[in-house]
Formats: sequence, structure tokens, C-alpha cells
Amino acid sequence: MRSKQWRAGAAGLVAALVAVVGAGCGSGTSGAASKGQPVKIGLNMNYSGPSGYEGQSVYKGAKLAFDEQNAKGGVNGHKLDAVLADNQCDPAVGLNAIRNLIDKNHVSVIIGSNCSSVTLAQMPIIQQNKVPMLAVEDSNTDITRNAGVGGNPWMFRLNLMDEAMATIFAKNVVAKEVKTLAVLAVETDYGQGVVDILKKIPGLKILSVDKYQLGQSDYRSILTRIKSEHPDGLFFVGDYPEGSQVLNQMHELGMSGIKVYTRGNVADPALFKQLDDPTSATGLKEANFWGVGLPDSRYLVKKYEARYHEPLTRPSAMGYFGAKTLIEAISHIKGDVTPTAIRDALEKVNFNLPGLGHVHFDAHHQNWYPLYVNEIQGTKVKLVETVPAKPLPGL
Amino acid sequence: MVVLDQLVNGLALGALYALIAAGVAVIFGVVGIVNFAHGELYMLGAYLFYLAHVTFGLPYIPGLVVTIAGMAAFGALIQLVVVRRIVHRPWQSQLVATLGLSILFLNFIAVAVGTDPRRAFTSLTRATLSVGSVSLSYQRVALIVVTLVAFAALHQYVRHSRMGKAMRAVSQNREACVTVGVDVQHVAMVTFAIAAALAGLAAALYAPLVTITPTMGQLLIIKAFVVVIIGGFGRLDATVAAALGLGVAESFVIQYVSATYVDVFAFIIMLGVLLARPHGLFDRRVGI
Repeated sequence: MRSKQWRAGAAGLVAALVAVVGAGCGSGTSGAASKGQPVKIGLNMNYSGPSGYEGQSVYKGAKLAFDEQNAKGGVNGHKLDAVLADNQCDPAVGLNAIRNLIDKNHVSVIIGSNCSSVTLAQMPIIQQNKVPMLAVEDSNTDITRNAGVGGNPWMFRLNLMDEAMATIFAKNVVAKEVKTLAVLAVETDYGQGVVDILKKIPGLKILSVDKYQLGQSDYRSILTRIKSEHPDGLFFVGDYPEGSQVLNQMHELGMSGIKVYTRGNVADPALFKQLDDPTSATGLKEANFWGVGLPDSRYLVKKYEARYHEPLTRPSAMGYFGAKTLIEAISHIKGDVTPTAIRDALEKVNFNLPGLGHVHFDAHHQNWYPLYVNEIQGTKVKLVETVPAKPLPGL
Repeated sequence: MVVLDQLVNGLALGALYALIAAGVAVIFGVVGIVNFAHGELYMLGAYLFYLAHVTFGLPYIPGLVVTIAGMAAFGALIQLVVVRRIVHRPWQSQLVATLGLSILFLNFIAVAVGTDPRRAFTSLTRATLSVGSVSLSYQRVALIVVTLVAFAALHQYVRHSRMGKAMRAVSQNREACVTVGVDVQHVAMVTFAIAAALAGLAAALYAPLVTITPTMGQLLIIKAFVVVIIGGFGRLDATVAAALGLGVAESFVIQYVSATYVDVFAFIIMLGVLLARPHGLFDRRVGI
């Protein structure tokens, strides 16, 4: 009996080990689309959780572009089939999401993840399984540092990265207007990345750095302490749901004399509905990799609002641009549309995308276009400055 | 005066913790289960308040009353439909059931209503009271004052009413209550109603100050468990004291240490209490 049990236990252990190793190995069977077959595109989105509004916006933008293209007959006869996986902006959940797209749905290419921490966790998996992924919202510098030449050849990024944006913004704007700064950043790789950059800016004294959790609602204690430090400015890293609460509580505490700068998506048309006083954000300046007020994006504003009956935002625009970039790449593929063919096509992409600018990936698979500085004036977000962004030395 | 400012901040935060944690404590004390869905009851209360005050345009007080009453009814329904069936099952089944409710409520709202943040302003949100260096909205003043009044009323109810005495009796010795003919399930249903009503009150007082999202209860429930462990599982008055104490302590940690370590601080205190006084900081009295 004991010998039988021992054998059964050993067999079970071996089976479990095989399953684990098998799951860890890339199946290498992710999607190839032959002539006439649809191309499966994974939408690796933070669709729920505290930043669910962002993922849903990117999804809507991407779907708009794919549906438009499918209405024209697809790309070279291939329809575009979008498959959604929710990463909840959580690295652990993101690993399941990417496995779902690659192993179960056999996608040929992925857009995502919108959260730097998740993308950094997923990069080894896309490399192992040889499936290209295009980031459109994630901004941590390490994604570019570890992509392309000398790194992960399957990772691409359409949007600007933090080291470029925060450096340009801090030097060209913030350091010219204030001498001392308090920093309040989200507790993620994205937030920490910006903090690290700000600390290196000459002429700018960082009085304090505080972190908050995504979904946090009470900032009064942090802001009370910041108020007691008398900084010239507050640099907030995050998006409008948390940003609006910081602004509301600053207003409540009587901190209107402190200038506010943001790196994220606070200066968004959706901000004003969240403010106790809609005009209380006047003067806020934000560095962003896209601005709602760009003249050549009006076509997209109209299209998006007609389809979804809500304003176009940065995440939804970037979802659209990401999809259009993939469409452009796929259109140049002769023969079967495989993950490798898409990766090779993305490396050669070189075109002008109205509303975003020129799209061409450098050796680290990073796209470069101007940085936009938005300012809130009353209840409007205005584009006040466009600053060229280019690769930083040593990257 | 920074010290006074942070004391007020801490009391406001502690009041919110108290309203949520008290519900968890009283459910554990009387019914004997840990309700992992309690953060989502707060979230549902916020959406109910939004529906009453913003969508249907009810003035603040009627909106608050509707929220409390609606959540009380919902709490009773949860006890009737779910809890009654799991209360005699192993703790693993109870954990899975309440976690399942949490996931169900959160995702139902995310699908039915969407994840876009919402606001439910009241006239108190936008008006500010300034006394010396302390400046806070009247809504936050209401949060502190109404919470203290609510707990004073609850204390009287639990101590002196017939149902309150039954709740205390069940929390002390459930089997003996069954033996003498106390309708334990009815007491449990009333307990769930009270706990959910407290969550509804928290929502109606705090939601006007924050954005309303499906995940708004998730961070709070973690702090609620910390408070309940520090105060003593099943102890209502100790939970309230622990909540206010933790809120104030966190504010001072943020002031004199850093916001980055505030959660670390809370969990270190919790671990310390578990090691040194496992029944909570206060006396080892049995029952609520």
C-alpha cells in the first residue's frame, strides 16, 4: 500500500513538474494569418481596477481604428480581430493576461499594457514566445532601455518615455518658474521613474517626495505636511481621478499659492467634473505625450465623439494611433502575417500619422515626436508649448 | 499649528475607518464570520447615494436617509440569501463566499455602471470652515460629528434595547441563546442590516468628498481589518477607539516620517498587537 501511494505521489509530482515546465516554455504557436484569415490583435489593457477608465479608453480608440479598417475590407484582405485581456494594472494579473492572449488566443501582435510595471513584467514572456507588443501609454524609461538592440527585440513603444519628457519639462518649464518643489507620485515603476529624474535636475530643490496608492482618496495629511514646507510648487505624478482629489484637498486646505505641475493625465477634459470648484485647477501645467488641443487631431475628436458620445482623451487617442501604426505595418507585409513579419514591419515603419506626428522606431524601438505642455485655463485644457524630444545620450 | 491640523485630519480619517471597521467587528462578534465584502458594501452605498442625490436629485438629508435605509435592507438580504447558508460551514467556505460576494459586487458595478469616476457633490462639499490654521470643508466636519453621534446612538442601542441585548447575548454565547429560544438568525439579520447601514452612512458622509469608483472600498477594507485586529475582533467600542487612534497616528507618521511608510506603520502596530495582545489592545471581555 505504501509503495503504491509513493508511486502515485511521484507520478503526480512528475505530472505537475511537466505542466509547470510546459507552461513556462513558449508554445511558439502564436498566430499566423494566412491569406484571407483574420489577424488576431491582443488588447492587453488595464480594463478594470483603479485605472480601469484608462484601459477602457485605449480599447475604445483601438477598436475605432480596427472597425474603420475592417469596414474598408481589412488590411490586404485580412480582417483585424481584437481580443481583450484585462491586466488590472497589476503585474501578477498581467502575467495571466498575456498568457491568455498568447497561449489561448494565439494573437499575432499585442497593444499594451498601459502600465509600466505590468509591461516590464510581461516583456520576458513576449520575448520567450516571439510575439511583438506595442506600448502606447506606458512611460517608464526601462521599457526602452531593455528593448530593441541589445535587449528585447519584440517590444516597441509609440509614446514618449519619462526620461525624455520629465527631463525636458523640468528643465524647460518647471525650473524656470520655481526653485523648490514637493513631489507626490504614484507608488509604481512609473511614479518612481519620474521621481528619479526630477532629483537629477540642476537648480531644482526637491523638498520632499511622497508616494500614494492607486485608488487612494485621502491626501489631507500629506498636503498638510507639504503646506508646512512652503514649496514654490507641487509636482504630481498620476492621472486625473487621483489628481482631482489632490486639487480638491489643496483647495480645501487653502494651498492656492502653490503652483502645480503634473506628469500624467491630469489636464484632461474629464478632470473638471471631478473638481469641487471647476476653475480651481487654473494654471496647472502638464507634460504629456499627446494633447487634446492639437489642430490636426480634430478629425479624430469628431470621429470619436460621434462613435462613443464622450470626449476624446489622451488614452483613447493613443489607442487609435497604436492601432493605426499596426495597420500601417501589416499593410507592408507580403505573404502570411506572422508575429515575426509584424515585428520586422514595425522596425521599418516610417510614416506621418495625423494627430500624433511622424512614426518611426529607433534602434531601441522607441518612437520620437514633440513633447506637449498643456495648461489649464479656467475650464479648458490649452496646448501652450511644443518641445522637440529626442533620444537622450547613453540610452 | 501643524499638530492641530494633523489631529483634525486624523480624526476625519479615523471616523471613516471607524464606520467601516465597526461593521466588520459587529458582524464577526455576533454572526461569527469575517465579511470580506464589507468594502464593497461601502462602495455600493456610494453608488446608491449618487443615484439618490445626483440622478434623482434628492436633497442631501433625504439622500443620506435613503442610502442608509437601502443599505440596511441590502445587508439583511445578504444575510438571508447567503450568510444564513454558510454560517455553520467551515471557515474556508465562509471566506470563499464573502470573497465571492466582494468580486460579484465590484464587477457588477463595473459592468453595469462603468469604471469612469463620478462625483456626488453636496452644498457642504464646497463650503469651507476655517478656524485658525485649520481649514476643512463642512462635509468633513459632518463626517466627524455625525460619526461620533452615530456611535453614541449605536452604543445606547446595543446596551439598552431588547435587540441590542440579544446581539450581545449571541456574541457571548450563541448556543446558550439557541437553547433559551432566542431567534439567532433574526439577530444575525439585524446585525447585518446595522453593519451595512454603517457602511451606507460612511458612503453618504464621505462620497461627497471623493471620486466614486468600483474599487473605492478595496484600500479601506484592508485598513478596517487592521483596526479590528488592533481593537479586538468583535469589540465595537474598542474598534471605534482603535480607528480614531490609527487615523491620528497615521497623520502624525505622515507629518514627521513619510507617507511612504504609513501602511508599514499600521501593519507593524497590527503585528505587535497580535503578538503581545492577540485579543486586541483592550480587555479580554467576550462579546460586543
